[in-house]
Amino acid sequence: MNSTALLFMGPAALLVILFFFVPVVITLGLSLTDAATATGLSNWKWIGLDNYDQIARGSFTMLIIRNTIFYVLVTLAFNVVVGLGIALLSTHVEAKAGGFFRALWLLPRISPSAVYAIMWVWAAAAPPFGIMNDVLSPVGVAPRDWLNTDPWVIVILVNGFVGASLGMLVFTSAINSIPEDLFRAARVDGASAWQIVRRITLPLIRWPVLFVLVYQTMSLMASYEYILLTTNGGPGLYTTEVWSLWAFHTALSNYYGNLEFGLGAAMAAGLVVIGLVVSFTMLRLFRFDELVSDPRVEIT
Amino acid sequence: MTGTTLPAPRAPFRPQTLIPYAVLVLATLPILVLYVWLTYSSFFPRIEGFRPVGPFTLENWRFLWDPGSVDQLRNKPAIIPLTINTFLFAISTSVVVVLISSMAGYALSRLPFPGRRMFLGGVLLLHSFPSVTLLIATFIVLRQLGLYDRLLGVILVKAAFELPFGVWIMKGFFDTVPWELEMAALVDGASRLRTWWRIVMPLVKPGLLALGILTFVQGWNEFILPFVFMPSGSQQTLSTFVRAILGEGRFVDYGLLTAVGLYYVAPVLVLFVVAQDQLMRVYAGGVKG
Amino acid sequence: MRVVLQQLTKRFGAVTAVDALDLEIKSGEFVGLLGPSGCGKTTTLLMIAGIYRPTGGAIVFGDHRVEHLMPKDRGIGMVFQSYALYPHMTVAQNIGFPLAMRRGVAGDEITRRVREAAALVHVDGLLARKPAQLSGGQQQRVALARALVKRPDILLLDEPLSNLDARLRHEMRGEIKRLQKEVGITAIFVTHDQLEALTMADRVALMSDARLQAYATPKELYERPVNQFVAEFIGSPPMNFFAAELGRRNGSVLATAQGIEIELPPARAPRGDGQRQATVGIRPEHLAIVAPGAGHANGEIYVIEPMGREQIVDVQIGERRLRAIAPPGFSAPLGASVGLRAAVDQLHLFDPAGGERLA
Repeated sequence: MNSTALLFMGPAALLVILFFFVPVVITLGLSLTDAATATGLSNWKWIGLDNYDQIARGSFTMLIIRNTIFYVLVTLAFNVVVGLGIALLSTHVEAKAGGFFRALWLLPRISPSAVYAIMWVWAAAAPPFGIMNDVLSPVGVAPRDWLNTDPWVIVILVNGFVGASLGMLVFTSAINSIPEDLFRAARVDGASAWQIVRRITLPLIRWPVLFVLVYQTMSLMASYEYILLTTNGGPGLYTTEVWSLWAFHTALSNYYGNLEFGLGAAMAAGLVVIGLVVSFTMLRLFRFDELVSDPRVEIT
Repeated sequence: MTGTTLPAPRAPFRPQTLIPYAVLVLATLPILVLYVWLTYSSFFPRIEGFRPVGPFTLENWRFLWDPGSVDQLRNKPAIIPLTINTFLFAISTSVVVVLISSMAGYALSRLPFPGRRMFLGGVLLLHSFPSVTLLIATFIVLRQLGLYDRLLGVILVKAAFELPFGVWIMKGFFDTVPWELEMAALVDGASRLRTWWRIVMPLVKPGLLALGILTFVQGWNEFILPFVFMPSGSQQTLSTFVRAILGEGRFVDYGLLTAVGLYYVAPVLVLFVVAQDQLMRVYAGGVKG
Repeated sequence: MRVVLQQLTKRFGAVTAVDALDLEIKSGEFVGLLGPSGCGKTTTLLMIAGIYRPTGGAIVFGDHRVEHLMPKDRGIGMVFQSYALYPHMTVAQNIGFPLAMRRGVAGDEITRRVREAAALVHVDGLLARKPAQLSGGQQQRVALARALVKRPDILLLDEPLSNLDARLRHEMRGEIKRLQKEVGITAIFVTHDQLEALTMADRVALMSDARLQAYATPKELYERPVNQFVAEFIGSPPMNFFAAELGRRNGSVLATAQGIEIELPPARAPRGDGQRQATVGIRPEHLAIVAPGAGHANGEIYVIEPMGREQIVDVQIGERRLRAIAPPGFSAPLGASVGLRAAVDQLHLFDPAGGERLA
């Protein structure tokens, strides 16, 4: 590599090596050790697959897997359906109004997660405080302390309203890149709004939909920030604990004070491997070759 | 008889054209209500559902001018240093990401070098890879580098996590700069480095600005990284501070909490209103690739 | 300064863009690289400029090989197809940029030379403007000033007129030609437009498929094309071609095809006896419409396209169509029988196999 390219790529490469490559290796390596606060970072030893064994035989493992699957599937459905709905509607109405609604849907994503969480926790609060009760009791839902009685509802809503904006943005730009003439032709041919959506828009944006499905599945599996900030896995023992949060709790933040890095790394390792495999598949599947044309100046 | 003398047909008003608006309004209402209500409840002593209890007050905001009198804030870092900390964290992350991304983005867009395709693939791969899964190992890396519990460490980690996005966005902006401009600069006697700085960088200013604002917002909002990697009080940011009040259980003072929350989110909202177009474009470009 | 290209070759992966190009450009000469898009002409120019590295061969400026030199060290000025004016700089900053990139050029000298260069191309009144505030023609002039300000030895122009409208194109054609002679600089330009090449260049290098097809003055290219490609590419409307049998009668050579019979003058007949087949080429302007039976061929009018100064007439002869030029006054109904007479001393004969010129 010549010196100019090295100069330009160097800093980025350094950060990537330090905080992506090395951590991947460490995650895998660490998962084979008993490193923990108890052993310190110097007195650990290799214990082979014991951590994985412990996870496999853990009494909460099945519960957490079930939680994770439930959380990912329901939130994913909310995200994609709502995101698609907002994209379709907001591109259907006046451009200005559409942009305004999309901006509102972006608010949760651009707000600090801690503040966004406050709003939901406060909205879900027990009577007489939370507004969810105010809104829902007229339609026959008994007032309750949502975070305790129905924590999953809150977890799904919190993540759903944030995550929907990703699909919304991707689908909106996909819809906007469909040539206007196709819609005009369809209208001239007598298609109704719904027929246009069903027969023209949806078939033409199936790749972006697939992209969002895959991408969102993976990021939901890995994400726990909003759960941490609302229910923190509770109430009680592991009611809303998902896999990634479990790893986080085990290795970085728990009430027992013994941070089990090795065990947590073993939990995270699965996610890292899934993340790498899915990302790699997406790279193959979506738009790589078209993006890497050769430079047109050959000197540096 | 010419067409213009015929009576003009009147388009009948069709109520169904309003249905999409109605659905959008209904769907968006929860978000709107949350934000309006956050603002609203920070100005009343107590609020039950939608009903304020007591008169309009600035009591909840006294953490700004008289933090000593707020029980919940005893033994907690003062708000102004926290704000400065948060700002420093956000602006440093932003500068680091913009600078490094525009260098790497330029190289990937414009420079021929061995392994370029591999690097491009790597950036795309990392772009979709959920970096939060690496937190445990990152913890070890920071400990080894002696950067644990230091602002610099968190800045580097945050910058690294935002980097694949930034590089990808900047590469996209550089791709739109005409090759001929660069060829002209080379013929005119500029080196590659000077061409980048004097000719190409000024042309991608909108991109630099958009990426800068976006990473600033991401840094300003960041919760997990300071929460995990900067545990000691003096180094906290607003996010960990809010979480600390929120995490104290159910008897928290929501008036105070919403006031602090609004204080924290306000700069982001202002930035969003001011730079909405740029942000939307970068967001869309980022997820689209 | 003279420029010599020796066996210059450029490959992009499996694609050969320029194949063993040999070309010599004399000092002070204005040479056009002409060819259809994708023929390798711009690649050649970019190799001369130093933007592309040759895969093989040599580039000589004066007496020195320059392949290893950076663009800035080659003593060249260049005008790009899009003009490539730096949008964030004023006209003065654009023109002064090449000087600002050099060490040891004082500020007031830059100002003076920028004025000088701007005056040369008549943009001295626009120095404070940004490129976006200029018309296409003005941008073109600024680009020329920027290319010339550092007093280069060689001026390179890539499709310099293609972004201008028809009227401006004509104006700038003359302007660039005058400027090149006035400055006396060796200049090379790339174009896909034969009219530009023929009107501006001292010599034209015609390329196709990465290879040099011909290198000659515009007059030679038009009057004595060395092969069928050159004959076809140069001239508008393009030359007519038809396959003919060659025979002898009374000592002279006779070219016959269905419905056509032409006796070739000795100067246009191929040497030797061997040739039995030939592709005959004749330009539309060398075909005259005459009464039926009075020319070398008979046919019917297929279509007439009035062009103002002249009319293009397509005549159907059996299964083939020949195009002729008629004066503006000519008029005939479609399908009318006419004769065609060729100016026999303007005929071109090519080898049907390789396309090489026979005579």
